[in-house]
Amino acid sequence: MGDANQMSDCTAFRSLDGAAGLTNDEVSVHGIHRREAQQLLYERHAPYLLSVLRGRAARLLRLSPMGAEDLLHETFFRAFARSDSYKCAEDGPSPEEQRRTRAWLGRIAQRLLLDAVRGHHDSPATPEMQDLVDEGPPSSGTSQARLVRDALAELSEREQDILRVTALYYRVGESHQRLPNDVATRLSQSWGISSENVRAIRKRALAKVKKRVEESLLKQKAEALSS
Amino acid sequence: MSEDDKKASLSEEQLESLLASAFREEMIPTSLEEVRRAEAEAGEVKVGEIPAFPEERHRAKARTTSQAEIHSPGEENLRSLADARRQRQGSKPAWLQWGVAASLGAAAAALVMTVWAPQAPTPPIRAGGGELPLPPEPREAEAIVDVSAPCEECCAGVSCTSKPLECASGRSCVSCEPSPEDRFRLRLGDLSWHEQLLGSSDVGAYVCVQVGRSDEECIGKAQEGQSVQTWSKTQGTYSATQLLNGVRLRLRRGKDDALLAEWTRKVSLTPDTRCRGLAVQFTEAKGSPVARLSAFVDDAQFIEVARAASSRELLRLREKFKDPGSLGQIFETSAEGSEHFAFSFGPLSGAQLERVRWLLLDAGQEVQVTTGQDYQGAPR
Repeated sequence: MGDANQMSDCTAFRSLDGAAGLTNDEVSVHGIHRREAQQLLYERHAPYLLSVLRGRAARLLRLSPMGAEDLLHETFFRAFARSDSYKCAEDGPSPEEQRRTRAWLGRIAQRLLLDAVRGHHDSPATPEMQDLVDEGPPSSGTSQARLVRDALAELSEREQDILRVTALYYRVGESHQRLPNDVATRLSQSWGISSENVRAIRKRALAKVKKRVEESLLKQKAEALSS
Repeated sequence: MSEDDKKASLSEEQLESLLASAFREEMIPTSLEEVRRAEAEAGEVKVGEIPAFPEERHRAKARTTSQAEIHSPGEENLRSLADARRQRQGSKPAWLQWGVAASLGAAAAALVMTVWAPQAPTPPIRAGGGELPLPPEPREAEAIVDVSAPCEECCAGVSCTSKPLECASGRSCVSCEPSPEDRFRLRLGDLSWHEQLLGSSDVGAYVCVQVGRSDEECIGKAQEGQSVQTWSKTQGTYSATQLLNGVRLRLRRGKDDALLAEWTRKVSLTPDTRCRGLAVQFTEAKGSPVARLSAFVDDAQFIEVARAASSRELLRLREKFKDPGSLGQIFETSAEGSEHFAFSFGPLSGAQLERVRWLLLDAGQEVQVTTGQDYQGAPR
């Protein structure tokens, strides 16, 4: 067997589809076996994904019944099961290819997490690779988003969690964002309150954030005028 | 509203969009740019620290599925926990198809563990208004799931082999350091009034708890005399970080909710704190002592194995487990029908939780980690 560490993600995913997807050269160079390819992909990307799940996504994960390791494993199971939807790029083994893989795995994990928060377990969670585009920097760095983050920090944990889950289901362009009933039910169960209360708390929390952000915006305007 | 005011106002759409952006930082990176940033911001977990890719777990699940599939039609109400949950949570049409009340009774029986080998159907009994087939009796030959979780790498507790130490909190195994994912509840003991205030203590006082920025949670008003509810727990759960940010207990008078005294501390979850608890000394504004109570920081995580309409079925289920630490308990819940009782292991610390969870998963048992928000009263 050749040096498996040199194998590109593309080759590894194609080997999961069976040797038929590989050229003779690829087989002979890498001596690929399905299990080895899985192991390689897992060892290459699991440390990154687990770090994300335990770090920035930890609060979100807490709202689902899944642990970080559960989600990690489930993500890889899904990715391996749907390796046919992994689309190879021309760049070959490279950091950029690895990032594309990680973004794809991230989408699988995100969908699984979303389903877990909703209490669903069976929906297909493998996004198509062609959905992946470089979307540019997220807009959370804008000054208004920073004001929102400051306002959120003043809310109770319960209020934050309710808004956090709502944000998961945000749909671009819809004027009235709606919290799905099953999500509201699940949230109500985890906080020991009624679904109606969840919606009422959400409404109040939104009003608090709005008020706080608007006050900050006015203050900024006043400061700008005085200077 | 002035023109400037109008410019500073946010539409609902703008606000929701901003919220989604703000929370984006907490989501899993799904674009190349986000991945780049995440890679730059956080180091990766070392390869040696990642859990092995669980081939065995996969096999166990496959075994479970095949067992479920070979139930005879007469046993169709025997379902795995996951199937039962899916049924409850996600498939209203199925409920509607069943339609009649009798089918609700059948759903109530949808407890059951796939670790049981399929057996001949047992005669149904009447329970809760519906036909309630009992799960088959465990056979002697059946595998017992061993959930022995020795207390290792610990710093206190009677079960701690390296430092056996009895804890006032009742904990038998105290880890040396809580993990960041651990959740805790506060449990309050009897309230004792300062002796000079004993005469005026019959005020139906109660205690409100606030941890970090959490909502204040008030724990039951005393029925009579000197105490709040004995061993009252918060319903809310808290992380170690939240506790370190500050715990505030407010003692209030029942009849008019007036603030009598308060106590505030940043609580660090040392082994000593988790073993012995906290001695809370309430003082009034001028610093005079008013009352005191004991507070304990309990683990708040459970591994839920099954739910059922009656405790009897779960008692039988419990026999399937070799559980020397008596970690498995049956809880009454606030849910109704088929979820009124829960069989869970816990409360468990993070290390225990993972150990027990994997023991159960390796045995092909589907489980769910929960903080037991709807558990009520003392477990059995």
